Formats: sequence, C-alpha cells, structure tokens
Amino acid sequence: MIELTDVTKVFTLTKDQRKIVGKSELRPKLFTAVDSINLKCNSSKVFALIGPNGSGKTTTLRMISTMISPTSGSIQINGIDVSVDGRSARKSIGFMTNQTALYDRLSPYEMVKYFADLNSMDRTVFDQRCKEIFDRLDMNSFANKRIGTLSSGMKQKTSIARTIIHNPDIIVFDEPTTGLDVMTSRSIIELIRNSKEEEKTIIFSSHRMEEVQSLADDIGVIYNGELIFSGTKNDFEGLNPDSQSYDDTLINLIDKP
Amino acid sequence: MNIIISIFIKELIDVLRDRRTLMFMVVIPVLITPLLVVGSIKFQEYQNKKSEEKLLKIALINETDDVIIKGLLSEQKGVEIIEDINLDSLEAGIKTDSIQGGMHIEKDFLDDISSNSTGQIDIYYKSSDLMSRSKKRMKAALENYKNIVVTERLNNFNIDEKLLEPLNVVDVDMSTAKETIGKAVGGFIPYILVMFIFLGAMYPAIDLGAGEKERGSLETLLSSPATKFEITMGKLLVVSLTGLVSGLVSVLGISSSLFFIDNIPEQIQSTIMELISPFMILSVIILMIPIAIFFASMLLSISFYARSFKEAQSLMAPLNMVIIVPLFLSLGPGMEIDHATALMPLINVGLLTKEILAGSVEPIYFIETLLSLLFFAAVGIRFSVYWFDKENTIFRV
Repeated sequence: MIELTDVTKVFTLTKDQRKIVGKSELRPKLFTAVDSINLKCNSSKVFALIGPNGSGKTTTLRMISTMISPTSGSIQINGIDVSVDGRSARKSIGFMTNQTALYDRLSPYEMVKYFADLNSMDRTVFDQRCKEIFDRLDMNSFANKRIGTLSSGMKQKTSIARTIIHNPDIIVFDEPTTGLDVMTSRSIIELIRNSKEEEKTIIFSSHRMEEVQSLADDIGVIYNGELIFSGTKNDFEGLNPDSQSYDDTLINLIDKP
Repeated sequence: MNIIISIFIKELIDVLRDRRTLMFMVVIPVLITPLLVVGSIKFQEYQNKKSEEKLLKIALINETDDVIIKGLLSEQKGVEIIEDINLDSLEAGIKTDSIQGGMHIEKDFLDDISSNSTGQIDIYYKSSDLMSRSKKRMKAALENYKNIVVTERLNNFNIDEKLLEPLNVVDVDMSTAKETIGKAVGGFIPYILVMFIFLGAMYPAIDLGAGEKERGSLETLLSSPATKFEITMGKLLVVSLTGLVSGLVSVLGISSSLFFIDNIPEQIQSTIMELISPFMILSVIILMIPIAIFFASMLLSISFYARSFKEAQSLMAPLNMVIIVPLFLSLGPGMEIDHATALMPLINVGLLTKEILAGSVEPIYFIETLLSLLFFAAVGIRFSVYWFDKENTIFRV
C-alpha cells in the first residue's frame, strides 16, 4: 500500500530556470512541483496518475520511489515511512519507465542478477525466481546474449524481469508505454494486469487515456502540482456522464476555473 | 558492504567489456607510450644528425686582406663560404633562408688587431632557426682565430700563456649515475603516470555517471535498495581501479620502450635497471592509489552533474590544465621536496618521484606526501558522496 499525506515538493530554481520565468523582480527562487498531495493506493488495485506535462506526476512517482525526498509531508510504503527507512521501503518497490534502462554490455541474466544482488536476494530464491520469470517471459534463448545485440522486444522483457525479480509488493510505472510500439506496450500492459492479479499495488502515470480506461481502478488527476481529483474509475466517469472520452473528462477538469 | 561489492563487480564487468575504456586503459598506455618515447628520441636523433650534416651557406664580407678567418671558417664541417656579396644581399639572403649565416669584417679590423686593440666582426644569423648551427660554426672559427691572436700577442710580450690561466679547475662529480638519471627521468615519469591515471579514469567516470543518465538507468538504480553512498562508493572504486591500472600499464609501456632504443650505453642501461627496483615500484604504487581515488572522485562528481556524455567530456577537458600546471612546476629549477612542497598535491608527487628514483628520498617527506594525498583523496570521496546526494545534481534539468 502507498499512502501520501500532505506531500509537498519544492525545488530551488537555478539561474537559467529563473530566466525562463520572466522579469528579474518576478523571478521566484523556489518552485512548488507538488503541493500538499494526499492519496492512497491499495493492494490489488491499479492507480492511474494523469495530468498534463509538467503537472508533477514524475516528481510524485520519484518521491514514492524515494529517489527524491518530499519537502514536507509523509509517504508510507507498506507502513514504512520512506524518510525514516528508505532502504526497506525500496525493497518493496519495482520501478519502470518507457526507457528500458539497461546496460548494453551485460546479458539479461547478469542484468537481472545485478538487481537481485542490490535487493540482497538469497541465491536459491533468486535461481528459482529467475527461472520462473525467464520461462514465463520466454527469455531463455537470449538470457546470455549481450543486451546491446537484442531486439527492442527482448530488451523490454529484460526490463520487466529486472523490475519484478525481487517480487516487489509495489510497482511504479512512469509513463511506461510512451513512445513504444504496440507490441512492446502490450507486454507492459500485461505486466500491469498480472501484477494486479498477484495482489500487488500498482501506480502508473500515462497520457494514453485508453490505457487508463482499461487498466485503472482508481484515478488521480494532478495539475500544477495539486491533486485536483482522486477517486475510483466510476467517480471519474461520473464527472462527465455525457462523454465516453476520458480525454474530454480530463480537459473539462483542468479547464475548470 | 555487499551492495558496494555488487555494484563494483557489475561496473567492473561493464567497463572491461567496453572497447573504448580498454583503449584508454590498456592499449594507449602500452602502445602509445613506447611509441611516444622511442619516436621522440629517434626523431630528435634524426634532427640532430640532419642539422649537423646540413651544408650551411655562410656569406663572408671581408673588407680586409685577412685570409686566416676565411681559412678557419672553411675548416668548419658543413660550411660553404659565399663571397662577393654586399651587406643588403646578405641580410635579404638570411631572411629568405637562401643563406644561413653571414660574417662582416670591417676594413679597420686588421689595424685594430695589430695595434693590440679590439677588432670588430659582425655575425648574422637567425636565432629563431633553432636547428641552424650557423652561429655555432661561425663562433667556433672566430674562437680559433681569437686563440691565435692572443697567443701571438703574448709571445710578442714574452708572456707565458699560463699567466692567463691561473686556475685549473677539475670537475669531480660525486653524483652516482643513479642519482643523475633518477633526477632527470624522475620529473618525466610522474608526468606520464598522472596523465594516464587521469585518462584511464576519465572514460569510465563519464560512462558510470552521465552515461547512466543518458540510458535512463540511474532512476532504476536509485529506486533499488542501494543507498546513494553505496552507489557512489561502488562506482568510485571501479573508476579509481581503471585509473590505477592505466597508470601502471603506462609505466610498463615506458619500461618496454627501453628495449627499442638502441645505442644506450651499457652503464646507463644497468643504472635504469637498478632504478626499477621493487622499492621504487611499491613506493610509486602507494603514491598512485590516493591520486587515482582523488581523480576518480573529481571526475565522477563532474559526470554526475553533467546531463549527457558530451557535456561531461567538455566539463572535464579543462581539468587537464589543472593537472599539468603543478606537474610542470615540479620540473622547475630549484624546486625540491621540503616540508611545504610535500603538502602540495601533484607538485609533491613530481618532486618525490625524482627523489625515489634517485634513491635519496627521506622517509619524512614520503610520509608527508602520502598523508597530503590521502587527505585530498578523503576530501574527494566526501565531496562525491555529498554531490551525488544532491537532488539538483542527479536530476539536473
């Protein structure tokens, strides 16, 4: 379970970033990327975080994954406060983006083993889990080839194996299918579905509303750093009962004065 | 600790499978260093031989009846005397390099000489032409002429030539060959060593920092249970090791180049072999370890900061100068290891290596230098850890 309580993230702007803002007297030194967010993602549920670019989705997901710390507020991962025991929290997390984020000179086996080692997995447990995942994803034929020589589909499978090797309770996806082809996107969508069946907690951000519609149980809409909507899929659909389009609902929501 | 080891092993495998890293770490030091050493020595020899053998055209404008100077000049090896030339043509000829030197003896010259006065001879040459030996050859001829005149004058006055040589100074050099060669080569060795440590560490540092950002793998690594401290230390160890290996391989490269240089006198050869003692090798390796760690921490910090591979490369380029200047200073005249210079990073390495090779190192300076380098290595590690912990560094936009 993921629980965010009054979470705020303020960044100190660099000189260059401040120049973009405008005239010198108006240039703020600080930028609030996420403002007092409260949200809860339950196990066996898929939570979709949506909103326009620059609204604070990635910052929120990075805070959940403990890559960056909140300026204020608290984040609990399976009851562990990330600011108190980040390492224990991270042991329960798998993180994935649309980039495969692999090392070309390693083999899929070495890549997955590396992340198992970082998660301090026992050798026997690793062997068993690795075999199971490699069989399930049909990775055995290329398990020992260099990642740099693999096709994008094979790389995506390796990336999935790396994300779930330590059997995390929580999986965080940051725009996992953006820019990917249909086949590769499908493997990630399947991963999200399978993870839900395995009673994991899933949070993902996306711009693809058809994905949100088919995968999400709960939806959060973030805009200008504020969570302007949080509820079930039905609640979201209820915001604009006349339209079947999630895009329209989202646009109506963020266009509200 | 296990996580640091896991990161270290993974990064080491990754780095060793990278051709570009191997190129900087092994191939360049092994092949390029001997090529540079042997090539530059051979080239220097060739240039010296060429300039010695070169036939120089020396213009002689003689307004007197003297024939001795012309005779002495023609006795010089590789001189072709050009006469029947005026001063303007001489100057123009030297400027266009059709003539390499000129001598002008004015008409009063012989009168001045015979009246026991000072005769004036103007010699013309180009000091910018470094390989030209025209000045040397003209001066050699005139020195011989001067000796003839002085002897003649002393004879006229019945004065023994020894009157002008009250001292017979005999040089007795107490330096051993080891000391002489050690101090001469000692300035050059750390220069090569330090440069290769830097070069060997540079590419892996870029790959392990900015490279992670470009691949997008930094985020997945940060979301693993590894702490930022463990990630930094694992990477730092690999970058330090590659720098160290590169430095050691460059020493091997320099040593192997000795086999390709012919006509080294036997005594010098045996002295060089004496210099490469286990003590020398161990001492240099001990000094190299903190240097490699310091460089690795600096390079990795820059790499963490850079957004891309290219940016990291351009940010690291000026560091070359920061390294070269102190090493260059250590080669300066009068620079010796003392309690102050032993604390100055890189300068101390340059000066101490000279002493180590000459076999005259004092333990206190070795300890001071080592402590100074360890201090800077510790500061470097602390800075890298602090730097990688900053969100503005790793998620810089």
